[in-house]
Amino acid sequence: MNGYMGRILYVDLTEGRTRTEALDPEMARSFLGGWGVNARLAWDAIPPEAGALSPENAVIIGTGPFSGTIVPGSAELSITTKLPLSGGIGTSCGGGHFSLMLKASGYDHVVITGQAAHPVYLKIHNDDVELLPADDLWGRDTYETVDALRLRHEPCSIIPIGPAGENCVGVSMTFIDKGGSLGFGGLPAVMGAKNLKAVVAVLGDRPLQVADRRRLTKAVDRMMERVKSYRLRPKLIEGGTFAMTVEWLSAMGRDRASWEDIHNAVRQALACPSCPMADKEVKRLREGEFSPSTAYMTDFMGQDESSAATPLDNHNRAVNRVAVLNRLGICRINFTNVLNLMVSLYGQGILTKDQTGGMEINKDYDTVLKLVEMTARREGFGDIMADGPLGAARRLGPEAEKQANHIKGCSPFIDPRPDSMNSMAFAQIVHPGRSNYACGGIGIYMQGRPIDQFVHHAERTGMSDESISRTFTAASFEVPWLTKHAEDWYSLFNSLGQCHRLYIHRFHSMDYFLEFYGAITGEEINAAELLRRGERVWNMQKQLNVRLGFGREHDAAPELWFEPMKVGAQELPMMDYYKQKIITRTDMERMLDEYYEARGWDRDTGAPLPELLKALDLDDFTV
Amino acid sequence: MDQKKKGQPIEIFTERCAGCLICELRCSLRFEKAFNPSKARIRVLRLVGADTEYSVAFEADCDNCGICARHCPYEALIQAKK
Repeated sequence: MNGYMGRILYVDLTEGRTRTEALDPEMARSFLGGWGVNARLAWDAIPPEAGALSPENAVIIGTGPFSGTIVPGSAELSITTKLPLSGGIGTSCGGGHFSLMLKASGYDHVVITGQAAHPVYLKIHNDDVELLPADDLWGRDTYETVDALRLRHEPCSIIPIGPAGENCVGVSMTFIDKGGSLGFGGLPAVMGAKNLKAVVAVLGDRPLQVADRRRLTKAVDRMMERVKSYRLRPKLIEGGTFAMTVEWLSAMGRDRASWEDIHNAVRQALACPSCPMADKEVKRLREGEFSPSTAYMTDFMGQDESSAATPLDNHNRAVNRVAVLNRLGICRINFTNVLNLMVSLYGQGILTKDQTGGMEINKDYDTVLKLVEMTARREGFGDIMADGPLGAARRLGPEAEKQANHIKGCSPFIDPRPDSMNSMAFAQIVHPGRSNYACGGIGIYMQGRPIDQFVHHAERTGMSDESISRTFTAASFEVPWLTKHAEDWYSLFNSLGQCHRLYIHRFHSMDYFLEFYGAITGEEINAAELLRRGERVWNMQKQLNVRLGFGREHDAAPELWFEPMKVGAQELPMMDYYKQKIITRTDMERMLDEYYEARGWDRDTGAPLPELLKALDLDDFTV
Repeated sequence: MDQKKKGQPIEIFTERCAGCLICELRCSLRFEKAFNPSKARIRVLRLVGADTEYSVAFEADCDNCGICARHCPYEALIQAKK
């Protein structure tokens, strides 16, 4: 089975048993792999009534046909589970060496169910699959866990959980090999509830065959010529995503240019397998506060105050804050959202010292780090914050709940008010099972680009002429229609095992995907068929959540988006992409109508219509 | 016995290695007609206790074909010119 290892590993933690099943070639063909096959497997593996933290929930790990090859940036791993923050079934994707190592041991997917009686970790090495005691690892942070397991099993790749996961914290996150972030919505909490401290894939000896080696290397060589001649690549490799944003940050009034020397001096580029861009990094603080220490950074934004809990003028403090979050296994986005709400409620007197155990809730550096620690361990007030944007607010009463900034119980990534209601902001609202902005497009969609750039990108990504004429006018575009296309394109990345980060995404196109897919699997298909499979994957993920009771009422923008954001003396209302018009509640409902029309979903219920499911060969998955 | 060498020696600059393993993947595809880093004639291994410091070494059956150096995107492997 070219491009696939042809096996799925099933692990029952309750019984301590493992077994393998053949990967059905038809399932692989129609759902591609990764996210897509995960979603199909989840239909059978996650009973609708299973609680996120119950033994019945499953953790489904998936690689794609590109994983383990030389396709540039083909290291994306997908993990699907029912998430504690939303109660929906969602998929997280992250980089690192895991997908390469898992395939080298002969598996495309792993399905983990049950609950171990005591802490264990799962080790996968060819046919040697073991559940090993993890009592000595329990309580250790994500970095310590990876270090300890590397000493036992190198060469290997590790998905660990930190104390936050162990304590079933909803605002948790994990980091494959310390650097590949994934788990938004509380995947680590699901692992923690299962007493599963880590999954280790050891480099095995199973060969990954592809259909046409020469064709693959020729296509990769062609792309690599473009990659190597990209004028910003040397700057990116030297400075990472910081180098690409520092001018923009300075223009916004944040003095980050002064960081450049120290940033570059302590930074080492970090690449996932097959990646020529190495825009992740390891930072080694050798002097100053918090030195000596080492921290992995997936991007620069975590170190920047725009996404931070508290303004930072000190490089080492910024790096240390990210390291503390990552080590404990706390999700920066969800935690920051909860913190913002708590500070606001505290300021309004709705949250009092009686509820916080006498603590003042503010954004002082030490206070924030203390709250991170308390949240990870569910200590004191941290037990409330652990439950996420909606869960925490609910525990504080109706007034707090009214002010919660959430989509399906999860934090939004993008607030459209300082920017606009672009496709990435809109995608967050309609994402099945959780919030997710990345499927709504790539970073350049956020910055008021001219319409011809959108059309050019739509053409590169295989959008049909009919869809282009429906989506774009000479002067503007329909965000819901663009979102639908961006989502189908995005589901191809995660199903094929391809990284979606901006600086590798920019080199990929539908033509390249078809060439890589044909060379690897041997199956020749056209753009319309590949996009149709992306759409099928999206609808499979949707049906999983329709079955759980998610409907139109859950595709709701946070209430506070309809109030202007106050920035100093300025008031910023939510505007359309070209900032011509304020988006009202009525506009938002119209956008939802249009999105459902573009998708072929019922406008009242938000569920895929029977004729669409039939057209996508998904009629076996009706609700 | 060492493989007969086809090409010039390959110099290793480990400090430039970003850990992408493209060298191992290309090498295994050439020799084994399939992808698997464990089948490569070049080995990139993380140093014990290190995060991103690697040892890079060639197996005895490496024939200096240079495919690893030609495709290393970080110039961590450079083959001497004839």
